[in-house]
Amino acid sequence: MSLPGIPGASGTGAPHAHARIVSAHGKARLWRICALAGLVALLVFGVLLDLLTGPAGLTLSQIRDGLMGEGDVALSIIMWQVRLPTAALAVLIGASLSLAGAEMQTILHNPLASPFTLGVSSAASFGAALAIVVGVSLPFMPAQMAVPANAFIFAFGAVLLIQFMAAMQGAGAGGANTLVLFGIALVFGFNALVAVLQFIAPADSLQHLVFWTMGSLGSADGTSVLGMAVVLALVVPFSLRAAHFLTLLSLGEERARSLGVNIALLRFGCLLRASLLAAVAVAFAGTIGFVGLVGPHMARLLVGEDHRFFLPAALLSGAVLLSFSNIAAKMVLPGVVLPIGIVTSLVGLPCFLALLLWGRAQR
Amino acid sequence: MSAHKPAETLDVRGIGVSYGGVVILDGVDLPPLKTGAITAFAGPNGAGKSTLLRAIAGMVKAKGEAHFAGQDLMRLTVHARGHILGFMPQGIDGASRLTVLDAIIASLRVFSPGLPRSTCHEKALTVMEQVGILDFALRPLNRLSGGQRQLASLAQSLVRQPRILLLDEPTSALDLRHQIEVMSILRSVAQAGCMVLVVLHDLALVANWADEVVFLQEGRVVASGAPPEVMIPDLLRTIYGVHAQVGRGADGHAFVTVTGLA
Repeated sequence: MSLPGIPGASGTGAPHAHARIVSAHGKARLWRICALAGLVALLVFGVLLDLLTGPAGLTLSQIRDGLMGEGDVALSIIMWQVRLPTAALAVLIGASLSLAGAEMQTILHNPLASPFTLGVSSAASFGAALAIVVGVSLPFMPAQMAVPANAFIFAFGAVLLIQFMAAMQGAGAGGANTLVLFGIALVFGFNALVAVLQFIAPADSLQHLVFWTMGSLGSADGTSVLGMAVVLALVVPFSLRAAHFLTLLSLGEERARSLGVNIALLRFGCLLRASLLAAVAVAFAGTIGFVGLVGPHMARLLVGEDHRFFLPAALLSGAVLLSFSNIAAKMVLPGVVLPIGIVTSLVGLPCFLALLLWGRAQR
Repeated sequence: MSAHKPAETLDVRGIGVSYGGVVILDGVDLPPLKTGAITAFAGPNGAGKSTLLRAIAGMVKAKGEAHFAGQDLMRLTVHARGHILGFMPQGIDGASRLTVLDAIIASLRVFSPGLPRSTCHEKALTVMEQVGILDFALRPLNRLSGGQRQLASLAQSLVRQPRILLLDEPTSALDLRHQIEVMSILRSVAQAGCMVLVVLHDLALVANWADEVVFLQEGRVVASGAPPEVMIPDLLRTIYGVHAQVGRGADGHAFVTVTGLA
């Protein structure tokens, strides 16, 4: 092997050094693959534990009977209509929010970026609040779909606004920072509008709205699981296809562009994917914080910034986090299932601080 | 790149760049730039050297044309341009935790996603050996010095074997030894048939290594040609406002002496 035109390009100068580096690089790659396998194992364990826990206090054999459709019909209903959809939705929403956060953090070159930083969840909350308090929704929309439909429409509207801003900014330096600032402006704007609706809302609507904004997997059913799974399955191949470009983007916009990465196109695709994931997740489960922020950080500490490994690791980390948060939500208060958004915030904050401190120590 | 390819030219015409109404480059025409040669761009701060290089590389919005091998580079997509051009910017982001080897392999894989891992390793390690950064192949970029990052960035640009290599002050963070090593690498790359366009502040490097030099001032070309013909005291006084001259030592190497402000 030689590269033309470079002095001493025989490629035979340091065969031992080459072999040593290739071997060490191979070991680093193996570690990343093992880390991904470890996350998969943790996720499987989390899902099984999630199925085992709940206010009904079922035994292992009752759970098996419920899943197999044997014995008491109530068991079957608990397993197939409550625990299984909830556990599956936790995995899918955790994966979606974390993958969205990972792409946003890279494309915006900002470790604090997440679906919530850009105002997607605040816009969704306002959409939901409109449906809950004022009863405004799309014509011909079934009543039970009004809240998620409104949440999705407003979340996606926020996305279109952000895309418009991104197009206006182009790929110039500082474009990413302006987008983050615009996102923060959206957060404050929509939060203020939600506060107005809360102020005028009657007591029963207010309770519904507060519960929705806390984030909950209580509405999990076949439709929400299938919907989230389809969106995730559509988005993931495109994310993985962009992995090499995103890896180069971690070197900075200027360097990535100089190596032939079309930043404007990459940003459009990333924001579209991230926003689609976040909008659908928020529509089904309300606002669940911290997963989109902590999941990517966990993944980065585990496998580094090579996005071929980082994106799957972020997806799995988010799924694991929300799965275990769902377990915690059922176990903190006996007989009560806390809204999962409260748990992710309570668990996520110390996790995030620990990760930050560990990350600093590593550097 | 092949050493036996006939020389091709890059014809740059009417390059204009403005930022917020301020004209940085005012319809710059360049003499035909040839493959196989090193062309240096020099001039005082704010002359528009880096902007000109960035305009040719497609890094800034610019008017004008840059014809090479029957194509106008300014009209190509970012991806298509990346197949022909390699641009090494001056500032290298120091925050990435990618290792040097991963960063070089990633720059290869963007254009050749299906390249086998063994080939990627071979290409990356060979270029790293030649740039002299094999010792920190597995070190994260954020743990390198500015000079080491500059060498890693050079390796990233070289590994794709571009036909035109543009470098914005590639020696600005390097010690004397590494400056000479980098210029020596650029010489070899040019000899193999690549066109090397490089912004340099150090006039001694220009005099010793460039085949052609283009002097810019206030967004216009004020002189161009072979360094011994162009780098005369009158021109250096006009452009830089200093009394300076280029001398040659017994071994033929050039040096620049500055005796004071004009």
